[in-house]
Amino acid sequence: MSAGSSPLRRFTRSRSAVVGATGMLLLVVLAVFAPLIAPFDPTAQDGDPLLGPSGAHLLGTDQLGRDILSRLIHGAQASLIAASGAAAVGAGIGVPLGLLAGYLGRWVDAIAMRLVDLLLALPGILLALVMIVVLGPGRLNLVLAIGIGAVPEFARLTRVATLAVRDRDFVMAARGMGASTPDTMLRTVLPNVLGPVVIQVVVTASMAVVVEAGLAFLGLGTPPPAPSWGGMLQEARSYLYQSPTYGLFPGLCLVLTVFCLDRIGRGLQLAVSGGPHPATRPSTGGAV
Amino acid sequence: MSGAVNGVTAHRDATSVAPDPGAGPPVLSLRDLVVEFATPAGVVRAVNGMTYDVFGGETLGVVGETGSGKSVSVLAALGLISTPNLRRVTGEVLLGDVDLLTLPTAELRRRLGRDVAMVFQDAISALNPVRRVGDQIAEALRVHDRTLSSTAARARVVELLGLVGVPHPVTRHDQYPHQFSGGMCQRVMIAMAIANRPKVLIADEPTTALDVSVQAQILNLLRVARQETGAGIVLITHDLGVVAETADRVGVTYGGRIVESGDVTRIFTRPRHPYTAALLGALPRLDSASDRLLPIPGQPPDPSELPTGCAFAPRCPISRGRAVCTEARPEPVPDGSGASACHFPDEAASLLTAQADDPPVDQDDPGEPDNDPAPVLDVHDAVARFPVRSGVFARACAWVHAVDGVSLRVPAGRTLGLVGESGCGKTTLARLVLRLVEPTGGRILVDGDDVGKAGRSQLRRIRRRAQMVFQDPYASLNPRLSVGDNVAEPLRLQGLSRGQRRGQVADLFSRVGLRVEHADRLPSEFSGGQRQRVAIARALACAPGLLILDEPVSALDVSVQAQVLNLLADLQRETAMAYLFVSHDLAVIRQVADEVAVMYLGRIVESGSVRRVYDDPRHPYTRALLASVPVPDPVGRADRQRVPLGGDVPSPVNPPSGCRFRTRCPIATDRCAAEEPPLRPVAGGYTACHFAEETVGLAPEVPA
Repeated sequence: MSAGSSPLRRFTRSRSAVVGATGMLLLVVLAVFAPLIAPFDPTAQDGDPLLGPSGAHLLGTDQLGRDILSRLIHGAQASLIAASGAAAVGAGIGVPLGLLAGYLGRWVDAIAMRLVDLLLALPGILLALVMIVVLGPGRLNLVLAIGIGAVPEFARLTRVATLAVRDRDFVMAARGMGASTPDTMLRTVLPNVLGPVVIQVVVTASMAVVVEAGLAFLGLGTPPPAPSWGGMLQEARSYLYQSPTYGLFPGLCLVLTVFCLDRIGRGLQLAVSGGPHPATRPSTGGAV
Repeated sequence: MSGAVNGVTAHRDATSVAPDPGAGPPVLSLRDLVVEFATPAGVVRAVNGMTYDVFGGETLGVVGETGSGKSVSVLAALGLISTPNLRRVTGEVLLGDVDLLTLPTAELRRRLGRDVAMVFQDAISALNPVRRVGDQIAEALRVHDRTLSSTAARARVVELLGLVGVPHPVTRHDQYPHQFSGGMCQRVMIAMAIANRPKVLIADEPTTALDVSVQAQILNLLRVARQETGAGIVLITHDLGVVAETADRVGVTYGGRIVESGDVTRIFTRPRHPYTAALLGALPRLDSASDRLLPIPGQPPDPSELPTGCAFAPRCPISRGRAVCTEARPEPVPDGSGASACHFPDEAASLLTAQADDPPVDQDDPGEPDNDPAPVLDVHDAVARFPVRSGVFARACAWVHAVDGVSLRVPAGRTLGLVGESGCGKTTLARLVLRLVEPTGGRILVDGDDVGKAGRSQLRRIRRRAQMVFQDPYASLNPRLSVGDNVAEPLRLQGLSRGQRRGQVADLFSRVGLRVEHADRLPSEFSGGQRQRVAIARALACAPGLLILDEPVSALDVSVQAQVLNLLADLQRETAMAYLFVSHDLAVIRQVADEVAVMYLGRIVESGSVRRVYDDPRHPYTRALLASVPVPDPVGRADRQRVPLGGDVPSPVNPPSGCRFRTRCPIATDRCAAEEPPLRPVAGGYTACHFAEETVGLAPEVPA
């Protein structure tokens, strides 16, 4: 069929997905070029404390006189690193685990799934808390802590998709032409299970943004004075009466980021599930 | 024409299928039905002016290939299409004198199931699995008659179940669908359909999902249902044999409309549309294997861009590019007992006779195998069993005997046809050859190498010499790789460089009749027949000595099926490959095979040369199977007493003792239960029956 059914087309046909992708792109640009874009040094205490929004400081200043806008822009880095890092760790461990478990089955499956059950038994945020306490705060540990919490979802999802694909004729055909097991897994099975995994990456990323903020709110996130949205929320809590707008902006940032990621996830879902138009496939056994 | 039809305009009259004289007004008429869907690729006109009449007490066969609009038209006519992309349904659907398309939904619903009833293809999924079968039939009754008491409904349901031939109707009433076999489910569906004595019974591919022996039972039952209710039956099918056996009149669909209609004998003996004639030429025959099928070139038309002229013109053997064919859509012209939508019906009429006179293409009747060279495939006493696990520790509590002691030999350049009903183990046997299923016992030699004992690397080498083509070309190609890469996969596994692969892929594409420019497209952009060519190209990539073809044409339309069968025949002539051709279709096997083996419940019951097995079958199962196949020749169908095989195939978990066929065998004796008949030489072939010498005198019809 024509280009009308390519995954990219289907993705762009969903308006909300395009909005989400644009918002995310903007955020990435802001985070990457933060030093160039931010009007002030995020750690410089050069203004009056707890100012409301004004011409000099567009979104006001915090309790130490730092520019909130600049801190938000720099804080995006922490959120995005947590998001992408956690998704990468989760997928990096979970997908191979699920692929092995689903394709090889038997004892590999049993062991891998018991490991996953073990992780699932602990709530993700608790797991992250414990890991941060044990490993100590820091960006890398944060990413690891959130990412490992996301492994079970990736592993289960990949396993289920692999089970569905494993006995399909084209996998049988690959084995029948003499492909080795690793080759079949990587070249034939993996590309066919990636669809749902890509969606899970986006879902995990948005989850990681929230968890990172939560950990920062508990004082276990990015160590001060580096800015992070969760940390800003926590500080704003103490000054809710003096400066009500202080907490509003980091909160809004979080909401918008999660919204954008969610929209992207939805668009991807459409793009992946679309496939060829059903009318072009014959009904079962409808052969002459 | 009858009174109701006279109400419509003259040219519409001409398009309708001619009625049986004196049949009264039609019970259902489709008039110029157009159905369109909106898709990303544009507007798809699935039905393009479908017009036909059905009269009470007759069977109208609507026959056509996939996508010809035969099913969509009735679904749309009854308002059963609810997809959001349905764009429009226009025309008239007259049930008596009411136009169903203009009725409000509530009114339409009152008529569905009461005046018009449908029987669907997949009976097992059409029944609600969590409700008792009897209650589901009773619901069909009570929906249209609220006053019916439950006792009366029950009595009527039991009566209906008896009528459709469900044994022990009283006990069966309270069972669930999973306790019914596929054939029994279809009987239940028919009981449900005739429960309210409808005026029209629409059967949409009612036997496609069933085995031949069960198919014959269901076709008989439809005949009974028609006598019982006096309903007009619309039998929608792709199977010309089914039509020839059961229909009174036939409408042939192509490109969303009826291209030819008429009396069944006329359609099959004197077709006046080139498509009908070509379809008959492309059909493998059970009664006589032609040397070469005559495929229809090209692909069926794309309903999103139907040509302005005749939809068949691009593939038509008599059009020869004449302007009138490509510019003006031919309207059906009635003549005699039918109508043909062709500009040149007389030329079409001469087509079938001309084809029959074609000289046979170099037929080198191989006769007997010359000096018995070492076979490419030698299967000796192969056994495959699967455990049925249950309980906490997943202990095997029973075994499915899928393949139980089968021996075969296929020499180079020859084709062994393996035929049997579903569940007989033929696909498992095919997979055993490549050890895609682990054998439980026996020995399988490919070119002298033992597949069962081969180590990992040797097995990989064997798998390159023996390749497999799967049934469903939609499932056997990796959807994420382009067709070129799919074909190149076996070459990549051999370690060929990208450039070498590209060259070979181009060569393979041209050998199977695909265009090299299309190598970068994804499989989803191809039709079924093209995909099967891709799958064959992939199988050829390693230049194998043995090709295992597992129902390679079962998912294809007749016209395309003939193309693929001819391609396979050509490839075999070029390369002297050995084929193991697995199929449930006896006519296809007759067309392609040199030797045939008939399988029943994991065992071979009869084998031998095609001529021996088809013309002189000695095993009662083979005889029954051959008698069950609908023959696409309505002439003399009344004389062909087709008494179908009773019952269903027993479960392979617990096969009957002694001869496995004895539970359905008309000549079984005590000896058959006690003693398993060996496969022994009988009349130039091999037959596993104690009474093989005596079956020859048996009439083909066996007491049910």
